[in-house]
Amino acid sequence: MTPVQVLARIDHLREALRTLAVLGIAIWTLGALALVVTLGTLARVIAGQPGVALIWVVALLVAIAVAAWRWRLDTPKRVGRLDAALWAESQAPELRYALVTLAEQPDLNDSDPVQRRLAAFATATNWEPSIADGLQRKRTQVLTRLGGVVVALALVAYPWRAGRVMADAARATAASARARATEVPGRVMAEAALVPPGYSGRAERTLGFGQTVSALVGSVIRVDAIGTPGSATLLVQESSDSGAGVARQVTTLARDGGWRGVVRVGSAPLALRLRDAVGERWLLVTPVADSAPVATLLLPAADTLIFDTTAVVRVSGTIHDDIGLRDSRVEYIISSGGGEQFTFKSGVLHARSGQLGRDITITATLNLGALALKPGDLMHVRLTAHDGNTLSGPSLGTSETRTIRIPRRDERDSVAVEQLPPSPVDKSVLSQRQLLLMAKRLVARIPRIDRATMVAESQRIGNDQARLRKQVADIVFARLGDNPNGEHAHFPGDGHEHTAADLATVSTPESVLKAADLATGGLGGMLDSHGDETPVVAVNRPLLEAYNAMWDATRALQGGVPRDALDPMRRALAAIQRARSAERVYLRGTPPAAVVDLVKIRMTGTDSANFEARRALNALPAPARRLGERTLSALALLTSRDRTALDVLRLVRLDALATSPALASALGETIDAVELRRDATAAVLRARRLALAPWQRSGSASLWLGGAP
Amino acid sequence: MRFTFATVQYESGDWDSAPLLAANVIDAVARYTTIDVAPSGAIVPLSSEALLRYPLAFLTGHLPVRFTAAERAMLRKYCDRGGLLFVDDHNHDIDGVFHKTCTEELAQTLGALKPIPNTHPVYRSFFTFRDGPPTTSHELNGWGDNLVHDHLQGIERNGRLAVIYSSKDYSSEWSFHPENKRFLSVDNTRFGVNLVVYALTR
Repeated sequence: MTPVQVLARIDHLREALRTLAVLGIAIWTLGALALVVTLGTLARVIAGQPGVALIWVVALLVAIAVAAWRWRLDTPKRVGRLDAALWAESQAPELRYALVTLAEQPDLNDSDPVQRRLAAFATATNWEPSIADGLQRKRTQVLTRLGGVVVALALVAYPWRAGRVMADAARATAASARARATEVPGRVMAEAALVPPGYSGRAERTLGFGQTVSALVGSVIRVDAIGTPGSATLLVQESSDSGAGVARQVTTLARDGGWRGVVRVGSAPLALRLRDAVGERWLLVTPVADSAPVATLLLPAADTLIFDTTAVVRVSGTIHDDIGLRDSRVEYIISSGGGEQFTFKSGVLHARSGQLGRDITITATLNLGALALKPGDLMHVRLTAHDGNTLSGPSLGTSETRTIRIPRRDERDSVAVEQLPPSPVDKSVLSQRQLLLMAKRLVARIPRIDRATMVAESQRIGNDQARLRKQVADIVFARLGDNPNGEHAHFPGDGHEHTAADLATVSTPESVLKAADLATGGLGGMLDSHGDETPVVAVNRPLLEAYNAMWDATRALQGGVPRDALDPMRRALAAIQRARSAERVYLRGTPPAAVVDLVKIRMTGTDSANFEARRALNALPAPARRLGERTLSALALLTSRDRTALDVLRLVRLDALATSPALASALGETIDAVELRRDATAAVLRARRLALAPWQRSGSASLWLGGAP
Repeated sequence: MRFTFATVQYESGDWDSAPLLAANVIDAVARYTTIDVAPSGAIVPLSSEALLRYPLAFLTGHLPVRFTAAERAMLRKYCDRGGLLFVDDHNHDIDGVFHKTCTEELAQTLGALKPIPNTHPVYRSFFTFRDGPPTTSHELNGWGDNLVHDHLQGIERNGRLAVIYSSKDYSSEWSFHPENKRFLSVDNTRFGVNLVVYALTR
């Protein structure tokens, strides 16, 4: 071989050595990786720490550091031609440094006699087989190490599987160690494990007899024992409200060299009892129920009224579950209508599903315009969520429901009117419609009957009309003035027995309306107004109109002109219809107080269920009585419009200042009103009431019943 | 101890939709029994401890029923302590929103509703209803869901009937002034007496 050919062989050898150097660095790196993973897994098995991810991160960092270190020491590029020649000289000493000398030559030249002699010497020694053998050995050694490292790494490459295998091994070791530690002749070696339900995602764990453990409902307690199934008995005993139940034997299945018993955790606490020849071991299990999701609606914060039907309402809230949420949504129901007619529509906003975790926050918007809400509609909004319980669930969790109401225009300025039971009606009274029909029939018969008959019939209808008018008046006055006998009209032929005094005080429409004005606090002007009227007047006005029209009808009928009565009777009927169809609004929380007359129903009372024993009034204490009498006398003087009345009132007021400041105040207002020529009615009434205030009902014996004054 | 008929007031819905029912049941109890009965009913908030003073509580309405957490807790407590809640769907509509929401709330609070057999003691506690719950004119008229319900529903707590749920619309049937009973050939509120007697004697 020429010198160039020899050096080409040396270069070839150098490339092979460089490859082996790279493999050596890989062996170091993988070895470090496998070592750290193995140590980490062992630590995890023994101490439960660290986590798998952490193990791998640390292992990779260590491997990178080792690779860098080895690269720094064994950089393949450092393997030069001289290094290759020296390695070849070490494998074939008979070369006697001929290759090294040749490799050190700066200029390679086949014509150089020295180089040609060196090449000839090397060729003559037949060094290549020795080099090939050495290279082969080195390759084998490196590949063997690499294979070993790869195999080791493969064993720990699946950390969960390896961890489980090793955990099982460790458990077995620990169990056997415990068993050995507590080994008693005749005692069955057994180990219990808690397997939580799959949906919880929780890991299985080993239990020791003698412990008290908490377990999710649906978990499985698995007991593995060594020996024949007959060597021990596994009992389970559940607790209940009435005490511990009867222990029942758990069915066991034989398996490799032992047996296995499985008990599912229910809703009741249970005791596992392992009984063998030595004695009994207990494992107490307390069930933990998977709680339903807890939803909290934060916005809207309270039930509310929203006037704007195009508003956008923000809905937000939080939902929490102890295991994990599966879905969540915002539900709404819109109800429209009233009375017995309701329509509903419902929907869902912001629905989410999947593995949502244990805590989520909900944020959504309700566009009232898009939901086409109308005044009077009622909207209910709430959050709902299900958990991932596949055993007994999924459990539903709901938040509080918020109500959003769109008020009607007429509800914005309204006062509640309590709904009351219908008043007992005197059935002897003919209805307005019936009277109108009778009057029309009479008018139609006028051409065929004589005047006397017509007048008699007309007056009969008129009397019925008067009775009906009184019924209407009772209702109107009962409502307006809280006086059931507010109107008691008397007239000849109305069916009542009258005295002369009665007929002297015959009511007229004007006087009745005036009384109505007084009863409503002087709101006579408002009775005819169309705006700003109080609800009480609004409710009663149709009946007042009916009442007035009935007056006109009565007059015409009793005057023998039934034709003129038709229009007012129609007006009265229309007004009654309006009053009947008037919408009754009542506030929530003010239900009617319907009181049942038990005495009447059980027929254990008197003839009149409303009978109430009269009680005498107490006598006034002397000073109060005198002051009251003086007040009443002084007020009576006011009717004479005498100036002396004011002087008397002032004196009474002076005396009242010390004993009855309220009376003094009322008298002062009365005096001021009279002096300034204002209406003193209210002040006089107040003074009268205060003057009479000491008269009270009392259960004690009164003056008239022998009591002391 | 005087019996007082209690109407349950709950936050959602129109709990006061049958204002005269209480008076009517009281009238029937007074008319047919010697039970010492209060002449007027009581309105009791569902979330109030006062509910525990009444052995029988009546709940009705047309609108969606959504109990608050406090109402749920008190209802559970009431039923666990032996109270009897009589729920009536004023809509008489099995597809209606009252039915859906109320049964959902009851199931969530107390457990699932199950049909009460027509041989149950409640149908014999005073008057005898051989065919189970008496029908109402609203059922027979085909209003609501156009069904005549054969059974009432119920929820048992600790072996006791805690809730009676009706889709028969007794709220409409019994909500008239007791004075008008004289126009009926057969008093249709007699089943109310059974409910009261059952609640007091079981």
